[in-house]
Amino acid sequence: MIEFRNVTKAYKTKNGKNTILNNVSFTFPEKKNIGVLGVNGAGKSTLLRLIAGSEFPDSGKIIRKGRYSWPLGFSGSFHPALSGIENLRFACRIYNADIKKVTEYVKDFSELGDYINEPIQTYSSGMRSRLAFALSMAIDFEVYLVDEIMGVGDQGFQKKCRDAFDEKRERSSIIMVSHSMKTIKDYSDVALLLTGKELQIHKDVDKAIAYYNELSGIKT
Amino acid sequence: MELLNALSVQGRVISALTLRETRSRYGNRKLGFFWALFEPFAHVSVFIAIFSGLGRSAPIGDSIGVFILTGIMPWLLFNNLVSTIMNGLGANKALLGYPQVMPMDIVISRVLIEFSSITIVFILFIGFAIFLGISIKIDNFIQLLSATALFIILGMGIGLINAAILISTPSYSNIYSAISRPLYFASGVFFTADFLSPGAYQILSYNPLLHMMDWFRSGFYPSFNSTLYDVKYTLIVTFVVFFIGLLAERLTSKKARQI
Repeated sequence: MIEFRNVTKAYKTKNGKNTILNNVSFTFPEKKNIGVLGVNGAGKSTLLRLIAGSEFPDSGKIIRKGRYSWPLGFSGSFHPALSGIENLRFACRIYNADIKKVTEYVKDFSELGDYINEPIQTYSSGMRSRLAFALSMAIDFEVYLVDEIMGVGDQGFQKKCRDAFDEKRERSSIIMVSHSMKTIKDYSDVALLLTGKELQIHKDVDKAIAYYNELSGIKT
Repeated sequence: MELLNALSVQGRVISALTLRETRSRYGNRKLGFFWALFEPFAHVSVFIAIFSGLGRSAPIGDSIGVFILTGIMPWLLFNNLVSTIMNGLGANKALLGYPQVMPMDIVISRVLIEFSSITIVFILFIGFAIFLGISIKIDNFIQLLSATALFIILGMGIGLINAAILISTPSYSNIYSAISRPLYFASGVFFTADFLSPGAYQILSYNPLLHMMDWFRSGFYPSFNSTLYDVKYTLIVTFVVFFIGLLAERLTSKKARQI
């Protein structure tokens, strides 16, 4: 369960203040896979970070019940100077997961090979997302917060992600940000449109995408 | 129940951070713990050479080495804490992406690491001194530990303030190292306050580190009781700085988490 109460969040940029959410009160639909749509700079990643608790709102309250993943993204929570395995151990310790089991699962799932012992900063974005994805699958979450990393990698790996998720369907749901409309369509039950000021929920994902296209067409 | 749960999460985070930091500091490098021993060893050797070159004896006790050691270890504790906290928050920024990791957890883990490694090194050197036949009898453990606690709290306070300034002003680390360098010479690492000329005494008696150093040595040496150290003054300065540090952390915590 996640609920925003009068949440405001803005960033200072060189061109002034960029308001992402302005006094938004919103309850996220439960047990639904949610695809987040929004033009560049609308604050999709920040929204995920707010949901996760990685960032705090400027004002208002976020109420969260259940086990949420950290935001799974490229710039995410991995320490760049540490190796994949060290980052994995760290995550296991803070989420109280079995290091041995997780290591085995991740080694097998991520197909990183010996690279798992190299520092994260030497990874390509595809490798990072493979590690993040495998690690989050190994630790059980109720809601997975996925920032762009889905739909990266080759066909084989994408299928693997898909299968892993299908297996978790019963227990877990997903809130995702992606630039790929195909990925959004594939995974989402509902779409959440971030217009720059407010959040709109659309039950029909196709319609939401059409509306989003219109919105971004006008803006660009 | 909720509090208990929060505490166990924090416990896990702090132990994970401590393990991670210990490993990256001592585990991955070939020389590992050698460096932790080498730094104080180098300071002590240099000062033994200078003091014997000048033909001077130790200000207190029989051994110059032990005297310098009782100055350099608290100094390193304080100074390492400041730099490891001010740089640690930025260096571990990525880990703040995990919602349960708080900047204070990073600070606490650094304190644990610095305190334990300095303590181990100190004990090793004292053991070595005893092995060399220098007689050592610690006067008052409580005095020794309370002075150590103050070095830690002041180090945390200044570290937190510096970390907060660094978020908006990255060049500040150069400025700080320039203004903090004289502190090494003004904090009693190789003298006690009694040795200062009246003029210097007057100025340096504002330095809380000098008070702590005399406090520490008063606890260490049975034959020494400092005329300088003022419990009330030292406590007030230390805790005021510490609370400013906590406040600075609070005020910048939102900005610290942004990528």
